[in-house]
Amino acid sequence: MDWLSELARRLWMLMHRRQFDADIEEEIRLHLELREQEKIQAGLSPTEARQAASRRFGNAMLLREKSHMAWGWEWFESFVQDTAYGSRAMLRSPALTIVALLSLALGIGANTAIFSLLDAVMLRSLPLKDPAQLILLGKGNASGITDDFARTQLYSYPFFRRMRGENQVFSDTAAIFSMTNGVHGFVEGRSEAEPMSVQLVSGNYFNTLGVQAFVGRTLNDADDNSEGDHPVAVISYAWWRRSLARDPNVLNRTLKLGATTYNIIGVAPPEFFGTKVGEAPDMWVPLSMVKEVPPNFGGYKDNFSESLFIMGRLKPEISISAATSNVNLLFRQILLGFPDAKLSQENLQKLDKTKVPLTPMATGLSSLRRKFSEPLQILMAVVALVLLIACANIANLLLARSTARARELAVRQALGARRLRIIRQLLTESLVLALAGGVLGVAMASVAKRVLLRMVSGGLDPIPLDVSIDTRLLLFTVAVTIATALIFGTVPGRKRKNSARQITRHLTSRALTGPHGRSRTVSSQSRQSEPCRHWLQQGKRLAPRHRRKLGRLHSWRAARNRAQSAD
Amino acid sequence: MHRDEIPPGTLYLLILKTLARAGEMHGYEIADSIQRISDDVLQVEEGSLYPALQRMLIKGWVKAKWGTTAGNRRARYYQLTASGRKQLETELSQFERVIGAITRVIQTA
Repeated sequence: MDWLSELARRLWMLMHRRQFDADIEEEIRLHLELREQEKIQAGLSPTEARQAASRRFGNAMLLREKSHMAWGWEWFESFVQDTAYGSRAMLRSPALTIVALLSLALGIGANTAIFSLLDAVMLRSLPLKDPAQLILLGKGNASGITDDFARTQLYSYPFFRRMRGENQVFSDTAAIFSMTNGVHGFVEGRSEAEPMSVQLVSGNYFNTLGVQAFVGRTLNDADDNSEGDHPVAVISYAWWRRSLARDPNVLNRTLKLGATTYNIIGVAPPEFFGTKVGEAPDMWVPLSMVKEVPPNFGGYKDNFSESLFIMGRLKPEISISAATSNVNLLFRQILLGFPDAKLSQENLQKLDKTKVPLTPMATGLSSLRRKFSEPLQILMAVVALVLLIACANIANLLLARSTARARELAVRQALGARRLRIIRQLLTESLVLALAGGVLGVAMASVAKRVLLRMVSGGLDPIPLDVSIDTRLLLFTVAVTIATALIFGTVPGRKRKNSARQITRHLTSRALTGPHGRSRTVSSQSRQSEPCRHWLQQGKRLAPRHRRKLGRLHSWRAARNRAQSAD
Repeated sequence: MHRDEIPPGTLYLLILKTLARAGEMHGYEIADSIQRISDDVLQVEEGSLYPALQRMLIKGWVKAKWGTTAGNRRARYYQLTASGRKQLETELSQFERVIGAITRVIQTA
């Protein structure tokens, strides 16, 4: 409670600080005058009395400053002052400011946008329960239908069934049709066909992924236990919103895909876009309908119509190598066990040589990744360079400015500004610049991200990809650029150790030689400046001794908002 | 006459005690009073009274209000608060402890 009321008093002071300063000034004046009167009554002359009073009192100006500083707002006052000064300095050299801001914005914006895209395509885990447990059979680097023997990329539906039933390493195993069916379907009651992308999946797809329905239910095993008689669909949240305007009555609506009418049984949650990054299906239909959904691929019961990805959720205690050996054992057994397997010499040799690799699919499947991973990585490298260049750019600009300001800073220091105070001022100025750049960078990032996505998509419709700006990276780039600005912005402050001496030397020699150099040393002009030179040299000798005291004076002035820069 | 500087850290104690005795005083009176009562031995560096008073205002040990002096001048009068009184006790006991300890050290033969 004590500190609270103390804070209240301090804040009160901050808001009425002019009044406070005036009060202290009046108080001190009264004190001095009373002492003076007393001395006069004791028989001193008025001048002597004033001097005596002042001697006894001490350095009134310094004490006033101390009284003001006791309230602990010095940092705040100089911060406000420095910010104002920094902004003015920025406006005074608009070219430099614009270039610096653009570098910052580009460095932060481009980096963040590209990384966010990279993240969405390559790095981010699927929004699922424990995505790290999800394993894909094969590498997932092919799609389509094949009847090749012993392919490891694609599998037939009967193979999936047996693998699911017989393996001991997955808690559940699901299948996904390797292609998305593009269908022109009808929403019941509408006469115009709409393009819909339909993803065929095994009945336990959602259960394996651990995805709960947002509305209604997801698919289940019963939807996938007999061919052709389970016309049901789970629609995506995005499609529900886009095409059905979030109709709350969605479960009573139907769709017509090809010749069959499907009941909508549920809506997937908003964050769920499927398992292929960059392809967000509008709806999921059980694989049992594979022959009914245009273009009517079929092959539900065909042992060698290989068109599916198979993924499993690893049991918690199973290692990936244990899973690999189990899956490979079964792979061989199942293929050899199919009665219609063509066990030619060639095929058997092929089977012997084939090994099913298991691929973690925490980040999902993606054809985008195949296509863009390399360009994206190159882009990322380029952008890292851009960041580096941006930083170098800012560093350069600030250094150049610091050279231009050397004199200003030297004068300040000669007047007694402490080095720390100067560094703090430069720091604040750099911070103003960096923060403005940071804000621009964030704005730039969100624009650049949209442009990039459009570039990557190529066509008219942008790829359905959730490229949200990655906060961690944004923070990182902002931190890097701001750090650069701060480090290089304060170089002049750290450099000027001897500047007080420098400036007096500078001024003395100027006074000596006049504006036209040494040749005029004996001119009347320089003789006129003789007293001035003497004065400066005196000052130079005194300077180190009094710099400390002057330092206090300087900061007092600063605190009083009176010190205007000596620029 | 030689005047001694007050020992460091005792300025608050002197001000608090002076105010406790007098009730209400402005800065000049406080300085004067300390000096008079100590028979001119203790000399507060008069100016340093004012930053100290500000710090005491922040701590809430004293409160100030403007009034008029006998000579009809505007002056800021300081007054102890409840927490100032408490602080006085703390400072006093602390001071006595230290002085007692020093005395014992000095007097031990």
